[in-house]
Amino acid sequence: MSFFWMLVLIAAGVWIAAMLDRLARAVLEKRPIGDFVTAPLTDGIALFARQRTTTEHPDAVNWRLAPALYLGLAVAGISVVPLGRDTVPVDFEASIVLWGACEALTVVAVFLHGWSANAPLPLIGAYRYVATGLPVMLISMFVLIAAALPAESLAVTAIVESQTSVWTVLRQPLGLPLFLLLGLSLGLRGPFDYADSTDLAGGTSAEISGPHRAIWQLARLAMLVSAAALASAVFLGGHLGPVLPGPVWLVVKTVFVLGLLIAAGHLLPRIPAPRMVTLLWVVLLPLSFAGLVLAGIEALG
Amino acid sequence: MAVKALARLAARSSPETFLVAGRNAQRLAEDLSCDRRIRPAMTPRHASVLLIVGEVPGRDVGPLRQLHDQMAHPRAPPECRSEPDPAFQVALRVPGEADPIDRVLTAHRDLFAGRLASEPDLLPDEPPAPWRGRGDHGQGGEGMMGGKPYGRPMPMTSDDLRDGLALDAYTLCAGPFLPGLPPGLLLEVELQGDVVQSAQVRQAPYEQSTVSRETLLLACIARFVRLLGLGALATRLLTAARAATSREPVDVRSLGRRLRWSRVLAAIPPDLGIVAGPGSDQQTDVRSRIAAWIAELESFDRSASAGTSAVPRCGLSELLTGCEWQEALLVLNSFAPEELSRICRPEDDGRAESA
Repeated sequence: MSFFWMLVLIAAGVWIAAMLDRLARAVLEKRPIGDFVTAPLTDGIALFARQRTTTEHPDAVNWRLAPALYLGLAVAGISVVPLGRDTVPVDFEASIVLWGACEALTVVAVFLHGWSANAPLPLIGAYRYVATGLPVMLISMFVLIAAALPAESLAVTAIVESQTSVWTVLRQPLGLPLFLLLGLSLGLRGPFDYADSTDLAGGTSAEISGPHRAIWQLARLAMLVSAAALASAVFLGGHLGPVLPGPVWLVVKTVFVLGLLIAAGHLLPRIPAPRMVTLLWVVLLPLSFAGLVLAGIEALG
Repeated sequence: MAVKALARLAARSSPETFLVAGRNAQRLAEDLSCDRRIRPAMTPRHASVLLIVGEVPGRDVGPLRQLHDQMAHPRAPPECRSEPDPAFQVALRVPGEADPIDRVLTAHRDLFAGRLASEPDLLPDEPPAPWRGRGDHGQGGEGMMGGKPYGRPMPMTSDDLRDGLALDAYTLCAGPFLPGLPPGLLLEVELQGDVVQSAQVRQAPYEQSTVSRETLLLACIARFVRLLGLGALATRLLTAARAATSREPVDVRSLGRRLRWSRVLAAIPPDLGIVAGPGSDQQTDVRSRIAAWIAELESFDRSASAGTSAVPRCGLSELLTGCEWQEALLVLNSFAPEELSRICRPEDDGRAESA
């Protein structure tokens, strides 16, 4: 039953993310909002009515597998998020490590997607994603370990329960902003959309269309929802909260984090990759490590 | 029944449209891209409609047909204010006063409703290199050597500019309709990974019509910020440019504040795309040029004459060599169209064609 509700959460989250994206664009462009509720569904489903194009001599197997892998990793990642006090699809002692594995394999999925097209612009997108994605993964692991220290456990359920008195975001203020960078990177959004960017005419998705494109877009949004759900569990107390049922709190917090991610995607510029790589390795990674050290000192104290 | 339901649903979706700008039509194409009834596509693969705005010179009809054939079925190409290519089966010549977006919407709906047949391919589906009978791909040699499989030479290693590491260099022809490049510009770029090793201009960009300084600034800044991933801000700037063209009031101060608040200048690497300024000892880089545009926009006085601009003394190849792909596009888009035309002189190797 918890798997069913997990899938409902992902499906609803994808729709809400698409709606929020349209809403944000309309507000920032200062034009009438229009139909932002059904239009994302219509536009997404319409992709299945179009032809699936191909390039000359692509790596056909990996090209087809990459979107499926990406979507699978999103589902696997959200499976460790407790939906309520006793409702978690996948619960074991090191569930945060499962999430870490999903992050790392996302780099593989996106790289394969760009590589397999056998075209220059998708390939550049793939290279850039690997260059920026790897340091972002490291940052997220330091941040998550720091969040796990007060719980004295690598299980996401224990991390949520450790926030009964105070949320992680208050204990470690840097943690959530740094983790949101990971969310943007995993969902290929805004300042971290190095793989599917406008300067590459769509990057890894420049040569795809039809159902292939529909699954890829779905996977991107699903991964964004997954990252938002984990962020709300690890930093905002997950299902914990007064009055309302636990799952409702989780949904509210996930939608809040989704809103932050989508707003950041539209408001923050994308720095050229070489400069971003320097920023990640020289500034943000040491910062996340410093946060881990402080969390360790607090845990020992 | 499910297929029909899917087609009905697809007909209700807003059409993804790939806009191609010809001569003196870049501003019109950008105005059309701001119409909320369509979704501008980044690549022809995503588009169901190809909208050609303005005149495309004869030398670029071939690339235009390639663009057309890259579009996924079902597809149809309405054209706007230009002579239709006779090869397009369902070419619609839109009279000057008609709303081209209305024609795009009608074509999109008719396509999915089955009332309009999808355009067939214009070019033959053949490998670019002739079959020579030897090798896995008929390239005339063994393995991947001895010829050009699919008409493309095998990437060979050469020293990377940054650290001398020998990597695979490959050559790519970018343009003449690549989003992010000025319409008409055709560049032959040698890349290692995403770093430009060399860039040669094969075709200069199309000439564009003269517009007011305010419109020019808004449009140029919009093109630049779109490359930084700020699509919503770019659309807002282009909408303001359209208003400026119609002599409607534009809140330039609010736009200037929005630009500064979005930290566009901080996102640009320092010392990128340095060229000589108006004075003999003055140099400008991408950041200072964009900052000058924003400052001029914020203090815009309609009676003022156009400000002095950077005079690039070097060619495009020198400017772009060593730049990462996004950086190269930022350098190109940090110049106004007239300035860029002065830099983009086709390489004199007998292959450049005049318009």
